[in-house]
Amino acid sequence: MSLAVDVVRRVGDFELRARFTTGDGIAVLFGPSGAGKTLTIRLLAGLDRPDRGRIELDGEPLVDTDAGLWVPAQDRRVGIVFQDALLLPHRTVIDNVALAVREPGDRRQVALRWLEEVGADDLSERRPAQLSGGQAQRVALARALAGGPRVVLLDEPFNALDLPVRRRMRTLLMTLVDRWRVPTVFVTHDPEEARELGDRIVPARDGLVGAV
Amino acid sequence: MWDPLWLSLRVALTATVLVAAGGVTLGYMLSRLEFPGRRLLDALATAPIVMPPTVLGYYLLVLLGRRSPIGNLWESVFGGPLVFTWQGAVVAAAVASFPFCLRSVRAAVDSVDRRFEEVGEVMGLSRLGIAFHITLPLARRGIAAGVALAFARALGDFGTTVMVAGNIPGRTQTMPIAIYDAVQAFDYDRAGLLAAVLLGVAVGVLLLVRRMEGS
Repeated sequence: MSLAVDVVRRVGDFELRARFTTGDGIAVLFGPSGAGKTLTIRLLAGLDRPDRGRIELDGEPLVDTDAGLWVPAQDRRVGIVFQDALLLPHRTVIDNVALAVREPGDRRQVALRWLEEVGADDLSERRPAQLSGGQAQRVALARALAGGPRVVLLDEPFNALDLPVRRRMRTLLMTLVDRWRVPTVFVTHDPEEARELGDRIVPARDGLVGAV
Repeated sequence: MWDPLWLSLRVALTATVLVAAGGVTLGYMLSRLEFPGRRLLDALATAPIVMPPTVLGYYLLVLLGRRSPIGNLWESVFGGPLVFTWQGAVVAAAVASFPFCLRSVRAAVDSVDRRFEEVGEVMGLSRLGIAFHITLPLARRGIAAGVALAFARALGDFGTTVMVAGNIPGRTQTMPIAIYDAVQAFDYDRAGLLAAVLLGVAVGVLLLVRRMEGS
């Protein structure tokens, strides 16, 4: 897998310039708050449009402003996890994950497999309100993976968790990325997290992300 | 004695079904979609709240009367006029109560955290899929409250209904009109009983709405 990003995006007074490439494993976007990390994730996911530039996944352009090309979020096949798990409160855990399954067939079966993968299969019939923060993020991770993503984006997903839970979640993430070879972009401002997780570090500061 | 009650329930329930379908659709569209004429549509749909009911009824009578294109079309399809029938009362009650449902639905959809919808987008759900699986279920309490309010408003409508459907006992005489009739005939026992029933329903609906909005 290769991800190549070279974009400019202005929002009010803030200007983001992001330029980096990454391959398999975990790329960590590391830097303080307000550096443009989250905006970069939104551009990658297709939730925001760059003013100019290009994003390529495996040589296929997702955005190319010169060519007027734009692949909407629905068609990008990415998985995403935010700081809040954002599980739908009206659906059970397994139904939350099943909603993300793209392959035809028994979606709940696929969902259960991913819940097993993240160690949350015993929670499958619970409602999100009955989960702890760590459990909810496990389910969010299963949901992000259940769609068979070409890349997984994680925006400070473990920030709200206690330190021991954070450590366990990091280990889980590394195991999953290793086993499933899912290319991952991970946002954090925590140096310990960046060091432990990052196969490569992409620095972010004052709107400059990567080697700009 | 109970004819007006059954008729009122039939009119209000039918109107509520129409209002719920239209109110949820338009409320969602006004909250989440940009399209030409959006503001005008919003203003038109909300106008019945600020219009005197008789004025609203007058315009509906003109719009749906036997000499109007809509009235004509109705008559050619169903073989009789729309005005001065219970179906006419349904239209009157639906138009009068529509904005109550619309405003409630719109506020409920406005308050849904957009990040849930963004997760849906990234998961590959279509716009319709996001609406049905994410937005509307998250807004369901506000939607239910709006539908309940619309029902209460439809049940209690007087001015608009009497203009469009008239006051024909057994055919278009709903509860509020029957109360008016009873008072005109100095039958205060009947008026008091009918009024108490309507008041009970109204208070019940309000308690239900409170509960839905609060929990």
